[in-house]
Amino acid sequence: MPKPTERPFPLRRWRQDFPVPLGEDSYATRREFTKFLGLTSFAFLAGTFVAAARKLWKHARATQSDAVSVASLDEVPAGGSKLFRYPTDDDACILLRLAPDKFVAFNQNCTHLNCPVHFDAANSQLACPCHHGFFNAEDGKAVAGPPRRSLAALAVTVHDGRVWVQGSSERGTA
Amino acid sequence: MIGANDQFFIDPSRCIGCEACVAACMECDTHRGRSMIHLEFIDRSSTTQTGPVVCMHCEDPACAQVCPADAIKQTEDGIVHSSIKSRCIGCSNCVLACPFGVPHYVAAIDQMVKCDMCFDRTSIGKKPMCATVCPSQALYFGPMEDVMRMRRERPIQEFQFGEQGLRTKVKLMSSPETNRLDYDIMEFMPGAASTMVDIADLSIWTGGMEVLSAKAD
Repeated sequence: MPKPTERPFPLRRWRQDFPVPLGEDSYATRREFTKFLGLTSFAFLAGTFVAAARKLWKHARATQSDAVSVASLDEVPAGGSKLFRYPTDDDACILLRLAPDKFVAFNQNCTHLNCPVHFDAANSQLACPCHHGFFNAEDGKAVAGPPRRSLAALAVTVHDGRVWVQGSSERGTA
Repeated sequence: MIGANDQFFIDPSRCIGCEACVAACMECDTHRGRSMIHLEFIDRSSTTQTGPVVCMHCEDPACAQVCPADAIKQTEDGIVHSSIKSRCIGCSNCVLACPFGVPHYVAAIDQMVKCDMCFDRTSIGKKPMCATVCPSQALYFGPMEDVMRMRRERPIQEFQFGEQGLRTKVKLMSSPETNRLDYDIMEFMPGAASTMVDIADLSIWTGGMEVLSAKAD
């Protein structure tokens, strides 16, 4: 009768990297790592498309929406401003009356990190208090501070004694 | 964790071949519809003897040792688990290596499947599915004292297959004089029926080892 072996499988050095006990196993196989990389990349790619689709959808909705009246002429004095929401309640906008016959309107979100910008009539600028970003009140172009992109402008028209805005990427003056 | 006193005992001589264990295994939520154990027919032409094949949970499992994909793991409670799905490459090394014939390769899912002693049940203090349904208690899960009190046989957990010795967590009931079961694989190969040991005789009747020794000589 053969003598039983002490240990059926001698402990080899490579076993330290691939241990049988689950508690000692901390090794990620190439297959698992590849799977992780693949799925993460796919998630990022899918996320990019989702974000792009949302932006396009929002833009399409803004351009298709009808002109809305946001203020009457005597409501905003020259050098004054008025906040309103357009096209949805989530989009804060600001209407400026730079001269008695000159209105402009911008999205109120700073193009740096979305803080609301405020009208500084003395300097004819829109100022973002968060990181001291400044925009030209005439055309919404970034003039100082962290923001590099212009504020999104809305098309403004005046008729029937009221100010009307409509979504547009064009610069709006009236 | 399994209760400190509860252990798994297999007594093939009590098996009546009803396959209730296999059916019960299929019912399990974690692998619904697919049994991780099977019933072995010893030699259908000459005997009605059958044997339930559940994993013996070796202390140093051959299946895990030969797995090239590092897919078979043993937990602290000594249970050797089924393949880790993301790792198993379906090579069937484990199927060939296991001396008890436990792991099975399932081509449909390209995975090895083996008994894991219902870790989802035993870890919360329940008995394995097969042991709960076995009508003849060929599969028994409970305290050692109960087995020693109720059975004539002795639970064996040391095996010798040729030059390969194994110590298992699950215990096989055998004759009272036996401490270790030695198998010469060649005796069980097809065509060697004339020298085949009757497992039922070996486990029920005292002196079974003498029969085996006589055959070995």
